Amino acid sequence: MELNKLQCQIFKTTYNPQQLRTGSKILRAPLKGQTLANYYGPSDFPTVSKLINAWETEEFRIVDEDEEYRLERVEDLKRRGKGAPKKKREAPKAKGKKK
Amino acid sequence: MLKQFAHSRSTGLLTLACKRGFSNSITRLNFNPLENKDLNDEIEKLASLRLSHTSIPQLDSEKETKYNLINTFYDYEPKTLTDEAILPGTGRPLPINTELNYYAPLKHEVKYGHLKAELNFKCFDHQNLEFFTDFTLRVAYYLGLPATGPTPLPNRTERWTVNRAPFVHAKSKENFERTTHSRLIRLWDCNPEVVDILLSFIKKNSVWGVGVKCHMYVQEPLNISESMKSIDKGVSALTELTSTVESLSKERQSEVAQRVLELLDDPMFTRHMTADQIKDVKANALKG
Amino acid sequence: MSQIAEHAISALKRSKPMKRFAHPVLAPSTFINTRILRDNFKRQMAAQNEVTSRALKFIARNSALPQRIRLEAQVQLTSMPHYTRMTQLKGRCVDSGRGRGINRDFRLCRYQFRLQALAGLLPGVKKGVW
Repeated sequence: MELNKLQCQIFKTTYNPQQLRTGSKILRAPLKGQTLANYYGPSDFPTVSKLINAWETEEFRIVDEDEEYRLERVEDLKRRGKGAPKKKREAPKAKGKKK
Repeated sequence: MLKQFAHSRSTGLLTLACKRGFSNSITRLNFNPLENKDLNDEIEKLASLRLSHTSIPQLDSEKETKYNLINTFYDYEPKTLTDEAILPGTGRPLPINTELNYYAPLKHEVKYGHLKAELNFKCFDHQNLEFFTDFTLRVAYYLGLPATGPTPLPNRTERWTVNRAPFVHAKSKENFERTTHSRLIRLWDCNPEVVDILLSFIKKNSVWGVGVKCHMYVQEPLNISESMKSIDKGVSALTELTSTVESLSKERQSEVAQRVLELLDDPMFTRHMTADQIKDVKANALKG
Repeated sequence: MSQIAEHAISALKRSKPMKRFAHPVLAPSTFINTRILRDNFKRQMAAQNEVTSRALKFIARNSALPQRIRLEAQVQLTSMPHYTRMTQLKGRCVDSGRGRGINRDFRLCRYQFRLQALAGLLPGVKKGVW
């Protein structure tokens, strides 16, 4: 008992003869909030469109190939009459009451 | 990036394909503005051009002999070979340290057996890894560090099995795996500063995809107390064992512990206690 | 040229915090959908309040402290908003926002993982043959 106490003093470990729950493991556990918060990466990582907006001037045009392909496809669909439907200008007519 | 823009200024279009922001490829296109011309007219012009050249054009003899000169190379037989240039002082065609690249890296002998640093290399393929460990051994040799290795460490294989299709209950699966190869190089009997030089050098010349981890070991003499005396406050720190240990213990300095003390000072908690209790609690709160 | 560069860099840095939540946070730069935004918000909040909640938890669990204090701490801990808790976090696919079948090593759902592995975008990952 005495030896145990002395040992704890010397090595600065906790002397806890009744083995009470002191919650020290909550104190000692490393903080992991930063790693969890960084899960989705930095918020200011530039996207392609941002890069283009930033770098494009009158002298050179920057082409985003994926976007170009998408626009081309949309045009193609429209030409074939398979494009997205046009927006209705008027509100749809109210349906009659259920009978 | 900037430089490429500067070059492409005059030529016109620039294509930038970015996928996920990590890889990009830049290619240059020649831009010809289409002019509105009558197509039929153009075709007729082309047809008339073709008709005017009915016979195949002949080369003049002067040019022909010039072009045939290349054939003289095919029947070339050298009568004499030039001597190998021998570098003065070495007696060899290559400088000795260049020639050593064709052989296994040299190593200094380990004299005292004091382990000073362990370099752990990790990579997903072994070619880059082996090249880089070899390079490190050569660097260690020229810095005068006794090194041993590279010791192959066990490979770590990770495997994943996923559905081939997005549908949950699909039967068909696909396996993927990734092997992490690793090597260990040990550095002996040296000054930590030299190890730092080695580390900074291999970091500067690092190879793609190879990770390096370094454990450095420091040996202290047994009579550390005497050397501590020369430092300010060294003695007091030694004699008051409790104070040293307290300053060393991480728990008191951790952010959470600070916050605990702050909170216990808060009226939210102090209203539950008498003044004596507060003191007592604050003194003992972090002892656990 | 330097002017252009300066302009570009300043344009890249511009990102506004979203006001949709109780506390404004920045939207992530990966794939975005509602559930990802929500989870990102919770992650930021959990990280901000981690120290406080940990301290309260310590006081509540420390049996050496007076009972009333421990109870008070527990009450405070439970009265913290739900978005500050670590248990509310959910691993979501960074490229598609899926919430199930996530591979933690790559933060991708199983299908995205397969596609990218086959495309050679994940370093070192090959088709498994053994």
